[in-house]
Amino acid sequence: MTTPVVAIRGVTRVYGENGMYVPVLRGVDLDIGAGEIVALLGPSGSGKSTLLNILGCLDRPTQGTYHLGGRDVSTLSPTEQAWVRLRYLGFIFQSFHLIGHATALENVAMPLYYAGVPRKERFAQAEAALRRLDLGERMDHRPNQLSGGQRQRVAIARSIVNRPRIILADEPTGALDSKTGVEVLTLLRELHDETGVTLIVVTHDEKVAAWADRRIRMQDGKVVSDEEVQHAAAAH
Amino acid sequence: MLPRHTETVTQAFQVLLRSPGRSALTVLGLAIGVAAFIAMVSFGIGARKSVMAQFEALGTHVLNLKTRVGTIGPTGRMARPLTDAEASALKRLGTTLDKVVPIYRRTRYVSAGSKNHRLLMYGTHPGFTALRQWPVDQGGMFTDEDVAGATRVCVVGASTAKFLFGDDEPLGKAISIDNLVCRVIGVLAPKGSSVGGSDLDDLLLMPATTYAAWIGDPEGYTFIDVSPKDPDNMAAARAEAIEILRMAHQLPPEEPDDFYVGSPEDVVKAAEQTAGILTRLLAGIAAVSLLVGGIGIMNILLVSVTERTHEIGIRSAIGASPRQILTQFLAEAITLSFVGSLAGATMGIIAVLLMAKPLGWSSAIDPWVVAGSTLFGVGVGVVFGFTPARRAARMDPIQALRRE
Repeated sequence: MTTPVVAIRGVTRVYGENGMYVPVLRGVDLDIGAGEIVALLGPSGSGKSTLLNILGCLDRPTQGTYHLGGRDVSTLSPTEQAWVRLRYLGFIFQSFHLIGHATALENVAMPLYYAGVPRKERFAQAEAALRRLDLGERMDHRPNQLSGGQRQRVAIARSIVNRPRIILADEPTGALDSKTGVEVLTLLRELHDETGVTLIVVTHDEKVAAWADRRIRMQDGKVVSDEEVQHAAAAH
Repeated sequence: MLPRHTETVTQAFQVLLRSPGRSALTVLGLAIGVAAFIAMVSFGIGARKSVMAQFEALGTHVLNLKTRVGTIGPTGRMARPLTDAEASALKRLGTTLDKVVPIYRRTRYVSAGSKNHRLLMYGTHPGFTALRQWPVDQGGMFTDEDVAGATRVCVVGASTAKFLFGDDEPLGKAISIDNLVCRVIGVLAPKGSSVGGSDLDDLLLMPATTYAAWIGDPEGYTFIDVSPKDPDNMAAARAEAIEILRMAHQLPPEEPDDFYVGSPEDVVKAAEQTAGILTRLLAGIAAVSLLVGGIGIMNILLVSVTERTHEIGIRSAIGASPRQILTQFLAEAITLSFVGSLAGATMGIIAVLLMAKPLGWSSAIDPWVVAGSTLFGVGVGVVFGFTPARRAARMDPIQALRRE
C-alpha cells in the first residue's frame, strides 16, 4: 500500500466535564489507502459515529494524531477544519441534510459558493453533477418535491461537486427502502470507479457491509476486526 | 470581491423575503426610530430658527444702556441718571461706537378725537429707527431740526394708528397727551409681537426735546442705545461704553456700575442655548427609540439563528468557514437595517413636512440630519446584528446537525 490517505494513531475521544468523563474512543489505529471502499460497522455506542466525526474534521481527537493526505489535521482551528472539509471531504448523511428552501441546483452549488467559484461556473458544475446522477429534470425542485432516493442523489451530487479525496457517508441507505438503497450503493461504486475517490461508510446494515471492499468492526471504542471482503463475481 | 458581496446581499434579501411579515415588523421598529430621530431633531432646529427670527426683529447689534436711577449701590451711593452729558460723552469719546441715541420711555395715556389709549411713549432722536432697524412705512421720521426746535410732531406704531384712527388716514391727525397736541407725521412698519407675546407696534415717538419740555422726566433718559462700528465686535463696544459711563459718573474702581448694560444679543444667546438643550433632549429621546429598533433586529436575528441551526450545521459541514457564516447573518442584519433606515428617513421627511406647514417654518429639513440618522440606523443594525451572527458562526456543526 502507498502512503495512506487516512492515518490515525492512538486516537481517543473523551466527552464530559466536571469529573464525569465518558471515553468513547479508547485508542484507535487505522490506515485507509486512497481509493478504498471501507465500511465502518458496529452497534450503537461502539464509537463509529464519533470516529466518523473525527475523520470528517467535524471533531478533534482528545489524544492521538490524524493525518489526512499526509497533513496532520488533529489540532486545526474551526476555520482550518472548515477549509479541509471544503477542499478534501464530501459528506452524505442518513437524513440527507439538504437545505429545504433551496432548489436541488442551489443545494449542489453551495460548496462551490463557499469555495469562491464564480456564480456562472458554479451552477454549470452543479448542473453537470446533477445530470451525472440522472437528476437533470429535477434541478429546480425543492427537497420536499423529491423522493427519498432522489434527495439522496442530490446529496451525493453535493458531496462530489468539490472533487473531494474522501466521501464520508453516515448510514447513506438508512432512510431508504432496500431497492433504492441498492441503487444508491451502485451509484457510489460507479462514482468511485470514475474518480478514484475514497469511500468511508458508517453502517450497521450487513448488506452495505457486503457491498464494501473492506470491513472495519468497532466495539466499545476500539477496532475489533478489519478484513478485506471477497466479492463474488456477480456482486456488482 | 464586489460581485460576491452583491450576491451575499441578494441572498440576504431572499432569506428576509421568505418571511415578509416578520421582516416588515422588524424593519418597522427601526424605521420608527429613524423617523422619530429626524422629526425630533428637525423640530428642535425649526423651533430654534423661529425663535431666532423673532429676536432678530429686535435688532441684535445694539447695546442698551439702561438707567438705574432710584437704586442705591453697596457703598450707599445713589445711582446717577443718564442725561445729555452721558450721551454726549459717549458720542465724543467713543472710538468703537457708531450711533448714540438717548431714549425717554414711559407709559402714558393719549387721546385722539373721542378715543383714549394707553401706550409706550418715547422721546428720542431720528437715529432711533435706524438703530432698531425699524423703517417708517407712511410719511417720515422727525428730523434733527425737529429735535432742535422741539416741534410738536410724532410718529406712531402701526397698531396705535389702527386703534386711534381706524381706517382713516393717520398722517396729519392730532394726538393729545395732557396739554401737548402733536401732529402725526409718520407710521412705523409693523413688527408683530414680541417673544413674550406683547404688541411691539403699539407706541408713539416724539423728539426728545419735545418730550422733555411737555412731559419731562426727572430721572433722565431711560436708555441710551448705542451701536458698535464693527457689528462683529460687540464686546469691545460694550467695554468702551461701560468705561465712558463709569468715568462720566466718576465711579471709583470698587463701586459696581450704576447702570445696566444689556443687548438683544444676550437674550438671543440665551434663547439659542435653551433651544440647543431642547434639540439635544429631543434627539436623546429619539435615540432611545432607535435603540429599541436595534434590539428588535437583534431579537429577530437571534430567533432566526435558532430556527436555522440545522441549516447552519449543514453549511458548516460542507465547508463554510465561521467567517462566511458570520458574514451571511451580518448581511441580513445590514439589509434589514438599511431598508428600515431608508423607510424611516422617508417617514421622517414626510412627518417634518406635515409638521412644518401649520407651524409656519420654512426649510426645517436638514440633509445632514437625514443622512446622519439613516447612517446611524444602519450602524445600530450592524452593532445589534453582530451578537446573533457571532452565535451562528461559533456553532458546533455536530450539535447543529442534530437539531432538526
